[in-house]
Amino acid sequence: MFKKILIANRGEIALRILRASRELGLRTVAVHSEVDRDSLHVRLADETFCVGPGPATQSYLNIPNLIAAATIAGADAIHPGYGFLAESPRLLEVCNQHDLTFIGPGLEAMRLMGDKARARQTVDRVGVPVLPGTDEVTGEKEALDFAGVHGYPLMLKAAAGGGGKGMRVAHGPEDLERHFHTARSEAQSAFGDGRIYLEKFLPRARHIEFQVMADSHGHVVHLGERDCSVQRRHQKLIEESPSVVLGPEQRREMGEAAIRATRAAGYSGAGTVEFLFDPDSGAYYFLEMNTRIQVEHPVSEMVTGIDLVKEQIRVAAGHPLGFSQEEIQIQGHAVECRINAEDPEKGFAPSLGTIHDLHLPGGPGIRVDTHLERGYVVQPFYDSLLAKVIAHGRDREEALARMDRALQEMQVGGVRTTIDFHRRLLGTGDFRRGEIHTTFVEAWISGSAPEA
Amino acid sequence: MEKDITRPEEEARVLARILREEGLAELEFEAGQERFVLRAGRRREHPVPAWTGADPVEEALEALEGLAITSTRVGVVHLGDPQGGAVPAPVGATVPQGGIVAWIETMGVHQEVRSPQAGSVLEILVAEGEPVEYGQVLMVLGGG
Repeated sequence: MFKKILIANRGEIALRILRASRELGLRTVAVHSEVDRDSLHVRLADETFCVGPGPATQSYLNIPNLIAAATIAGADAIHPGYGFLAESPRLLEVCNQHDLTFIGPGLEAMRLMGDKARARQTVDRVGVPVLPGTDEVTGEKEALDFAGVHGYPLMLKAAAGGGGKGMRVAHGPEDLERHFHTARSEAQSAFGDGRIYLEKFLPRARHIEFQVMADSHGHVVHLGERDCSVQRRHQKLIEESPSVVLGPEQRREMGEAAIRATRAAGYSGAGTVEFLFDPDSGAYYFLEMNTRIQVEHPVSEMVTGIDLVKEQIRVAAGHPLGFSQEEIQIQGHAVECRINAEDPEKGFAPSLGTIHDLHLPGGPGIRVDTHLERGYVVQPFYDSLLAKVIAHGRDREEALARMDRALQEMQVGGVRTTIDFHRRLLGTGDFRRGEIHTTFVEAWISGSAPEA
Repeated sequence: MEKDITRPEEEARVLARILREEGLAELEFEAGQERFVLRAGRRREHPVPAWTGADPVEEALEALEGLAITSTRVGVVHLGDPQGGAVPAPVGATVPQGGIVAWIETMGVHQEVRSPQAGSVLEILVAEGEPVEYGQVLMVLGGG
């Protein structure tokens, strides 16, 4: 096992990794930007390094400074969390050169799954359904030809993409021509890679992803699914497990497909295989594999009772998985709401300020993953996630009642948040009945979704 | 704002309070002929749970004597030339604006640290070969 872990992240996930490390008896090294020097994860860590000024490009994304901190501290592993450098082959390479274990997959698996077109080909070969789509599209003509065969709507996506950036929906040839260059330049500026591809777009499909864990001894398991259909502009807002639309047979089949995809990638560690699921036909299609621990991982932890971050660290240290597929049991129902510092009244514009008042919910079945405390300053440099509220219950009804109760209790003063937005969303008849899809939220916001 | 602050120390405390209350990283001011930089301090190695935190204001006051030259990266500080070993900026030395005062070694690369202005080295706050973090005060420069 490792002795000391450097946590190359900030906010709630840095704290989450710190907690897992400490439970495993490991020493922790926190890194931080100048504006984060008083953060909770910094104060709780055994050692700390300031790695740069506020902007992430100069601090949390500064590979030489992170590696220097790890080397000086004598860390034997780096946990990248999510976002920032979590899917950076460059960091992984440099870690390998400096005898540091990157807590994540190997370089080849990361590269393969990071290239969305190659990932599609790889899973296609092992019988995992993929949406009709293209390899890299270099010109408008090529895109229009594909549309001629498969029809609209279509999705333009960045080959190096993720997080909703570089994604555009085209409903007709005009859209396609208009979005083609926008998507390319967005992909170029967001990922430094302007390659894009086309995929058939299913507007009423659900986003269902499978949590997988693989070790370096050839064991691969899945920990059930998360339904992340509640999204706004491809950003997930609410995630739950299990999904109301999957029966046991469907779950087994998709779970096995996720395992095949994971094996085909030669993957180890924690990962997520994302599918689009068409509830009408029961068909499912591979979207992509995320080669990191995800924001919504607590949902799976609550229903399986497995600590994914600890398991991820153990597996990276070369230990075999601590459980078999048969031992993984889904217990009850869990739901997560992402509470962001955003103003839903103003198009979800980021809301900055100092938290002067704070009450976090608790009680039966409630877990809150957050780095918030009184006096915390929401900075313009980083994403707007303030807290993840997770509710667990015997069934969906109990989990949702607990969530509603928790959101009523929660108080965050000083910035605008999405707490009330979540309560209204959870209260809609569509959500209660589980009749949601990936474009539901946008339709609901614009007032076109039928209310119960 | 007619408050008459005659003692520089008093003035520094007032400014330090502003620095702390506004959560600023840095504050520049002039007193007579001299220019000062107040900088919120660094913290390292916090034992848990006995963490109390170094007071950034106290650290900023320490740097009040002159201009603080800080590290621009994480690495190991070298006060001597990595090639020849000559120490360009020992205590008492006069350095020109843009003059090399130290090197920071990061992933095997030695990056020069240059003085933002001319002055004489009043104090060196790091030892040869010591690890430093971003923003750490390396040395303090007095008016040239």
